[in-house]
Amino acid sequence: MTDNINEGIYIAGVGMGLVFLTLVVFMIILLVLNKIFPGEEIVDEVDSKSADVMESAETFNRIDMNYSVPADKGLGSRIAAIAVGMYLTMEEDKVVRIANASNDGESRAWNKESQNSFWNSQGSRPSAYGSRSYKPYDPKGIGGS
Amino acid sequence: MPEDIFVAFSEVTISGLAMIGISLVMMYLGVARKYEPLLLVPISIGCLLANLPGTKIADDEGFLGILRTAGLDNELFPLLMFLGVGALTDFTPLVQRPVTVLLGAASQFGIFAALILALLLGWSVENAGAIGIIGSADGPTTIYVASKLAGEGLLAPIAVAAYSYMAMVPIIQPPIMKLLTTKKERMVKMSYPSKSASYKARVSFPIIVIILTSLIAPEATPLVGMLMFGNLLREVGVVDRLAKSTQNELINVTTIFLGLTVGSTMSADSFLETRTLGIFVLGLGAFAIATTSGLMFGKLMYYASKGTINPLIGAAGVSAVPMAARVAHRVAQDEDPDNFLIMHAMGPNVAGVLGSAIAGGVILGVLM
Repeated sequence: MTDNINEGIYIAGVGMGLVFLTLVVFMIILLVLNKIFPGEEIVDEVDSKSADVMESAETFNRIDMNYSVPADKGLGSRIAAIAVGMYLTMEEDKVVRIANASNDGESRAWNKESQNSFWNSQGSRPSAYGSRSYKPYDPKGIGGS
Repeated sequence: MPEDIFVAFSEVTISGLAMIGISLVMMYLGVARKYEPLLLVPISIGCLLANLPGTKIADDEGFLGILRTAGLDNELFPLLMFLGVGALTDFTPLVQRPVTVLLGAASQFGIFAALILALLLGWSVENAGAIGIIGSADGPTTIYVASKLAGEGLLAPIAVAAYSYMAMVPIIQPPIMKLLTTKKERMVKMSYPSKSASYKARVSFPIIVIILTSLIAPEATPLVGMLMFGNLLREVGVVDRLAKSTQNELINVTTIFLGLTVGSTMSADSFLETRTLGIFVLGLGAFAIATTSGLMFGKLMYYASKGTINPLIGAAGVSAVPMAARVAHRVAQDEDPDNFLIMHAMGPNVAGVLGSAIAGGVILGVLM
């Protein structure tokens, strides 16, 4: 019994030592590989977009929103004013959407890309029986019911 | 003549019926509860077929016996599984943050602690090694090592325990994680790497790992070699057909055969014993200790890095990919919904796959 325990402790010591040694060697190899073959700098797309958005927002704020078309101007001027108003409204929506998206860490480019890559590449489990969606058999492939 | 037709009825036994009941419970867990359904469904059918009275399907001449001889007794199926696992595994988070490899090493302590516990309970050294490997949280590694070391009838309970606990990682790990870490530690937001992993680094890594493993832990070379070959197929970018085949057809076919053959070893004689209960208890202990050791090393790295590494990623060092990484992510999000830990946890998680394969190789090297 005691011999067995001693052997177990020996195996545990040697085993953990070898596992750590091997993985430390792998870590060093990875550090060296990253030095020899450096990857590209990750550009944070959202941050650069945010800068553009902030610029747009500043432009947006500088515009006099109380501008009114003089009554003596023609139809063309009125249409142009309406078009500008619609454009500015759309820009405002975009500013709000992107500004909200950039508030948390999730929007970081590395995080998002890596997550997408990860979820797409690690395989997936089939849906449980009963929660699968079945399509009716359609031999001619023409769809419809 | 009539007695020949109804011969199966004369072979019905209580223990046989109990095994059929166990196979149906596994089927329920796989189908209704979604506990590792890809493995538990074929295992349960293998168990059912092997225990049907009068069929002799699992005998050496039966088709399950032939499959078992062809792929399980010679460790072929686990190796083919590892090829598929390699092709499905993305080592990029590890390449981008190499230091997390240490967490994958620390978590392997569960294997050796369970080995010592098994010895204390009176198991032989070989059987203790086979039971301890449950702590690797890696199905193919467990079956590969256990099929070489485990005594008669022990492979089935060890394999079933391993896959059962892998399915229960989301239940087993969170209480330990919350017990051993503070709220402040769980809320640490880790910074992102500033550079991507280059193509040359990703392609060179598997080749170098194969060569180095053969030098340091030769017994682990078949497992690590297949894992890294699969990963090379994925990363090299010029053999997409082979990569897709290993990620889909090969691993799926092998999963069916492996599940059926493991299930076919679940005979009443070997499974319905008190030692099976002992294996399940030790397996649970191995999982818990693996999680604990990974977390403790994570805490060490938290203090060494002055609070920039979240210790929860240490628990992902057990190699249940990607379940353990998801659990670390979810526990972090329980504290702070804006904390996205999944990619940081994938580094230790894939390192755990490598670590467990090497630990299995070391055990084989010492005990064989």
